Amino acid sequence: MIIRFVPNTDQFWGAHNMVGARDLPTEENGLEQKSGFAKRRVRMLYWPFMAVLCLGFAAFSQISVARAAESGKSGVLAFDLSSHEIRVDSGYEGAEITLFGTAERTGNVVVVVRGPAGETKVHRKDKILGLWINHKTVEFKESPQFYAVAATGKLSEIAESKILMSEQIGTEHVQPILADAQVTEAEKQEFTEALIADNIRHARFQAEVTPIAFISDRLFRTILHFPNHLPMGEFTVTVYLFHNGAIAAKQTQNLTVKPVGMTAFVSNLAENYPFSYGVLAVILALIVGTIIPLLIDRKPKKAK
Amino acid sequence: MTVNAPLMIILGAIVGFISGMFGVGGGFLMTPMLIFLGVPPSFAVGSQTNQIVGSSMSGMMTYWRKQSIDFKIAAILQIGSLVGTAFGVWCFNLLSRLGHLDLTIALMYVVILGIIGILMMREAVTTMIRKAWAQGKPQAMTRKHKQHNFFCRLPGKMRFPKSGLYISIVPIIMVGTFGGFMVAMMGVGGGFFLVPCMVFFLGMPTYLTAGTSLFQIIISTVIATILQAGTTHSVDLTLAMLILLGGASGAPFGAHFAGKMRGEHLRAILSLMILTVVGKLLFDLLATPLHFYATGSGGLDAL
Repeated sequence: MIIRFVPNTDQFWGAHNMVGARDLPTEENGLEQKSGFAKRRVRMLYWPFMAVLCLGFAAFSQISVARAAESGKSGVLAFDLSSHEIRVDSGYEGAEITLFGTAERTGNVVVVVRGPAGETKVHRKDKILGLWINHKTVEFKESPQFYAVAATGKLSEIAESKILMSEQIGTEHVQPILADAQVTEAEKQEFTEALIADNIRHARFQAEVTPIAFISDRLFRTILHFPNHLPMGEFTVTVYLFHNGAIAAKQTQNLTVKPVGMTAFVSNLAENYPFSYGVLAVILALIVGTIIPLLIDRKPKKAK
Repeated sequence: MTVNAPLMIILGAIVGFISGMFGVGGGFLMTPMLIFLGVPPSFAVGSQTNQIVGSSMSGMMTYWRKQSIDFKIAAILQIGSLVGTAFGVWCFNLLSRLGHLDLTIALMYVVILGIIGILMMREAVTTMIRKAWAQGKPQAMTRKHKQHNFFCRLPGKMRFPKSGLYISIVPIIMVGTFGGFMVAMMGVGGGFFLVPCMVFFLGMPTYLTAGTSLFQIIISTVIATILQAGTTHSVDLTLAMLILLGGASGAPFGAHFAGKMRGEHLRAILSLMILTVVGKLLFDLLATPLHFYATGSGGLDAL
């Protein structure tokens, strides 16, 4: 909608392309009958009306830009996932989710996938009395159970480690939260590094940065790989847009990993009715253990 | 978590066979194998405990049909076991709080299993040698002489016709207590301790030990499974059922073959297995570890 701003009030009534203009009285439909008093009243209303209109438009555009920035429809950064759900059943062998979005190609895009936070303990072996046994344990109450990064280039070239550290971008910058405050700074550093190394070893953290490709001057795309051992729950996918080493935009969307089918039934039972689950497991075991030997049916041998 | 179903069943069958043959639970073999195959340790322990319930049941049923279980002794063993398990749990928590748990468990495993393994091996080998010498001279074959005259003077004697024993119930309760304590402290090894103790301290004939031991194991692993499922949610029903199918199928064959073998041969093989486990544990303890740090809930998978 293009508004032609016509300060001349006489032409005001003739601006037919203005919203609602056709409803206003014109020379054609009997303005002349109006008294001078009416004309002056209209003239007085013109400027407030225009002011309100302009303010309203300004407000509307601010809101729409803000909302667009949230929903990812703005021009700075926008992204989406091919699916917001990974369904895990007993045949699940891994998943691939495509992430795509738009951003200025001159910037750098970094994607961080974080799994749900969980409790974990890290043990260190020491030589006690000549034997190597676990001697020191540090407990973390919140540590991501999955972590992966994708980027358009090397992380160290995209931003300074100070920024990477504050946003916890990169496996070496993950900061799990300690359960116990009575741990020295050096120990915290040592055990955090050990936790990260262990997580990488067990493929919970992905050490390699997945490449992101720009397939046009605005459209970028990457494929996120998920292994066959996944924790269930809410994952977050955060996309950063870096310009000259600074964060220009940041958006997060959720990804749910949920068990389905038999896996879901069993997990639900194990989580919510654990003792009944245990009893059920035992009863099943006893029944199977009783039936199978009967099926095998060997004649009783003479005892030695 | 995906597992290779046929592989799990075969693994279960092998371990079940051993379980049925010797009257051990099989956990010592199953848990490391499961972890090696990629199952997270917490699930490995819990699911495997559930499996032991089933395969021990299967083995016990086979021995029952062969009338190779002394239920009277089993019942008294159970009384001791209840006391021992409670005491073991208390000790476990105490040591855990004091921070010496892992060292204690490591030492207990090595020392106790080592002694048992060596004693049993020595006895089995000497018996085999003696029997080879005594070929054609049946009167030279005497029953194992009682090394434990001390036990004859203890009160509370009862007759145990099945085993052909007339002994005090005190050693039986002691053995049961000791076994329950071991199970609570280490989570596995019920059979490992029970069978040698039954042979040496109670003088039971070997063919009865396996079935009686399995009966014991069923009761303690039933309780352990329910507790593990309830507290640490570490029982994976799918995994447990798979290895159970194998285990329950393998156990009767193990029991059947055990019936065909001579007692001293069985004891020799069992002691060999025990010593192999001890050897591996010693190696893990003494050799510089591959990874100095490990994650997990601690306890057994900390070893």
